[in-house]
Amino acid sequence: MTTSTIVVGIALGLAAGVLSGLFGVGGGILFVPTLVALGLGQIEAQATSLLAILPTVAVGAANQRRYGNLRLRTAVILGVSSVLGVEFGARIATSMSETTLRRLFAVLIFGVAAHLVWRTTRARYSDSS
Amino acid sequence: MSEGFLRYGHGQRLPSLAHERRDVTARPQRAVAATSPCAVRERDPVATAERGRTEAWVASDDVERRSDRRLLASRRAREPEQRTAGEKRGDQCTAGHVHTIGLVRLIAIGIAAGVFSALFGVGGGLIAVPLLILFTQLPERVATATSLAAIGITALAGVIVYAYRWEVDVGYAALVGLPAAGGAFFGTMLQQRITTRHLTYGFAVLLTGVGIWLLVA
Repeated sequence: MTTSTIVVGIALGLAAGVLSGLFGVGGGILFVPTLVALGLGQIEAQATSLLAILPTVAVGAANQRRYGNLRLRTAVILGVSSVLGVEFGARIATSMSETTLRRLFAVLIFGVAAHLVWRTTRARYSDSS
Repeated sequence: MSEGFLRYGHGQRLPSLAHERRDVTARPQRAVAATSPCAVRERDPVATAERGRTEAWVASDDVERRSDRRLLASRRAREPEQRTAGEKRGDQCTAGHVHTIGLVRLIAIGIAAGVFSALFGVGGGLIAVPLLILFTQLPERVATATSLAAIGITALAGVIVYAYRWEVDVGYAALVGLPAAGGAFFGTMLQQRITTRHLTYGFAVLLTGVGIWLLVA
């Protein structure tokens, strides 16, 4: 890791965090492109992104627990059952070519962008009514 | 497993929902031949949606009260003017309604979120939150918060699975993840203070740009 990589990485990480907090999107959707931009391969970026979202998620979940929004038992059931899916998802991801995976990820980003626009537009309509 | 395995609310009512509840109960009710006061809510789409959001309370004397309710409900169905008075008792109905969420649904949502998470290296909240709102009737805020905690477990599992395949770069994860945790804290704080509506469109454009870059890269 060169100094410039570290500086760019910190800056992009900070920006990704602010954006994800500001717009309520998951960190992963921003970390993967960030890590790809830093020179990681698609699958490596995705795996690393999973580790990178852990601190953000921990802080966020602790906050939500304070606000009383968190249903811990439900969360544990969801989380533990997701482990089954994780193994399956990882197998699919590693069996695909990096290019295909990257394109699929691009489609996912378009979906998130469209959902954001839809959500914001819907909120405006419900405000005015 | 007892039927109260997944029971929400812990006897507490969200303060913000208290007034919504009043709005609904103030609404004139249609005449229904109900077998229990809860059935009144079941048939009213607004009340049903509201019930889902108001979550449920635990009433140990639920069974004992059921016969009383049936009596009350049949009387209410016959006499319209008593229905409003009966609706005031609707509180009692909601309080007694045990809202149990299918464990199977939760597990299915969890598995779907897990596949999604490992496949794309994201949290899986993208898919878990809408599914939770749709199938478990959790309020949006609660669904988001709950999925956030679940993501912690999902992502951890993903990290372990990928670490076995030597795909996780701890240095890069720290480089991006730690500043991001601070940034997210700041971003969430900022969100409370500014209107993000116009910014969101800008952000959507930025995301689209990133998507195009990934497509051609």
